[in-house]
Amino acid sequence: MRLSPTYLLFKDLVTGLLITLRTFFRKPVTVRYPHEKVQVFPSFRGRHAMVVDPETGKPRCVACLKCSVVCPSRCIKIEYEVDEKTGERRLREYILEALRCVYCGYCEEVCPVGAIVLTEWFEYSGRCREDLIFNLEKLVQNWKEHVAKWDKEFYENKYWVLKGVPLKLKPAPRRMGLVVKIKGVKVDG
Amino acid sequence: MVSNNLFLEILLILIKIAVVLGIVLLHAAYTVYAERKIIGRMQARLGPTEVGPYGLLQPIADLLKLLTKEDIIPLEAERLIFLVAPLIVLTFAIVNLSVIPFHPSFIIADVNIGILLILAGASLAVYGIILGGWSSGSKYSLLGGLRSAAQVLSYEIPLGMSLAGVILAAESFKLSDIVNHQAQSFFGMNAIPQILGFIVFLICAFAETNRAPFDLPEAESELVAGYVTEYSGFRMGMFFLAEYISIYVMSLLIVHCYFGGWTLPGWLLTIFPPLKFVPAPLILLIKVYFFVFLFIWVRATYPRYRFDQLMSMCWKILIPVSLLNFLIVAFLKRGGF
Amino acid sequence: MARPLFMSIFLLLFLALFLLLFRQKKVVYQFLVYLVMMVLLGIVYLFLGSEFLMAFQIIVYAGAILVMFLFFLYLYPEEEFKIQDMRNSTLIKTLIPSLLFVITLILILFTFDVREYEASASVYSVKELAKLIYNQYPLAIFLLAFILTYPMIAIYLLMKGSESDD
Repeated sequence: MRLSPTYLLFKDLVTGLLITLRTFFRKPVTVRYPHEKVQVFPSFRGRHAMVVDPETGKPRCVACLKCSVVCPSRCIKIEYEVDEKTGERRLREYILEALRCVYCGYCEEVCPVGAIVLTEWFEYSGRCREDLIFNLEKLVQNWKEHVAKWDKEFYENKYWVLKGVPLKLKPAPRRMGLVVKIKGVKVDG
Repeated sequence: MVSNNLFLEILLILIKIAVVLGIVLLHAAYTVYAERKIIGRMQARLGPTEVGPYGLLQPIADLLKLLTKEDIIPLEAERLIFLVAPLIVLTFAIVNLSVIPFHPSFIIADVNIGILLILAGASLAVYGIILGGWSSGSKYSLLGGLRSAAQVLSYEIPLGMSLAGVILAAESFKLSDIVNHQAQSFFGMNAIPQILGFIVFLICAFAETNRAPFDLPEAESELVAGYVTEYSGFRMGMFFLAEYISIYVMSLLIVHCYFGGWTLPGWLLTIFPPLKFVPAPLILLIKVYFFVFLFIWVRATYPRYRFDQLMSMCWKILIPVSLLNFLIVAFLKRGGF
Repeated sequence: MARPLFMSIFLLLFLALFLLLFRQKKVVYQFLVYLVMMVLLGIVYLFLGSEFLMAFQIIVYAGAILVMFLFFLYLYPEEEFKIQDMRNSTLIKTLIPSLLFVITLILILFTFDVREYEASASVYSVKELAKLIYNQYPLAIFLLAFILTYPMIAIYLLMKGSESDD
């Protein structure tokens, strides 16, 4: 037992009480989620989406397989076919298992055409495993849902570009950040 | 004629009991709400907000939830004792209310040995906890019950010792006499000459009600929930109701014994005369609310004691200090204060 | 009128509980009956007009000493407390004091005249009590205090010894 006079005056006990009292009169930091929402910044990595070209209405993916190679959790599977005449690859199916995804964002950084992106959409869930294994159709649907809230003509997200890489080394569609014209998107059922 | 008077008297007592029980139960229910709200704010959270405006209907929702829950009795339990234990705790917590005056003219039973009855009630309420802990047939419950028994037994001694100073000053065991004596005394309240006794009593009040930082019998991190581990539904609710009622009993006891109950000290009235017009129940209410707030405030602030620290503090510090306080009161009494 | 009636009822209850005490098979239930008897004894004291005795009966006996008993019951395995069938000699040995107790209780119940109690203010005064204790029985109090402090010092020394061992 310490016998210093400050100990006998309960100095540390009173200090503790005053700290909690001070916090009592401070504004709480709680965000009451369903009633009020925090601002989601463009750098947030949420639900996956496949960017659709507004002119053609087709997904941008060129089946280069870079995303599937770079993915640390191996959650991307791509099926494609090769056009015999031109040698052009055509995407047949793009399967992304969101259950296994670690949301590192490597796929969107490595994509040369800015096709696979992580949107800032975070309110999603599923009732079974199949709901969260996205195929091409669902990824396109995700993109349409995401840009439906956007009322400008172009969608731009500067965080979808890798920083620190010299501009010349980047493929042409990715030099200006990701700018997608969305007003011309054909919404077909 | 005589029988008519007796009937009226019994009716009056029953009405008094109903009023006190109603007020105290309502207070206990809303203390749960206040505790959640205040601790929330002290941790920069909001506390309950969803049920009703500002979450004000939360106690009613809690009550409904507890009433509709399944009442589970474990296979290993001693059935009869298991069922009776929460009733014992609640009964003796409520019995203590009967000897506490709420107003100079409002008291259910103005007995000569009020303080002793409260001590007796507190010591009998331990049985509910010990028996509940033992009859659950679970190791956590048994340990919680044993801890509670050791703690309450040890802390009853300094509690009684510090109250002995109050009793000596007022020369009476009646709570109303103690309050009246304080109003006439030189200092106006017992807390000033008996500051040591007050501190000892405050610490013992926390320990007697099994509240933080002395909530070892129901330490969540070590014993799941201590003696309430196996209880569910309204039986668990009874344990908690008893805890909150005993908080009010202890707060009332502190206010009556050390802070002059419904009176204000004379020197305060001479400094600030308009205080004379404050009604007596309001003074009592404000003082009691402050101590209930202190109970919650301390729970939000301090971490839990270790068991050996708890015991050594009781036997090595609190009992000698309470004896010293008793000596000081004796000398003051001889000096004529 | 009411006071002797209630007192008789409580004494009869006491007798019934005493008989119940022998019927219980489990030690814990026996203990519980004993506890209720202790509280009941306090109430009987109350009806005899000695409120202090009642309070101390409940605080000291029911509140402190019996808790120690309960501690003992908890800390030992239950099998050691099974009551074996008693032999005749032990049965007689236990029956004699209990029969004496029952007979005395019944005699008190039916012969003793329980009168109305008249409250006198002097009995409750702390000053009177203090005068009685400190002027008439100072030696007894001193001896009691010595006896009470002796085990406390002994326990302290024992604790001190065990601490230094560790």
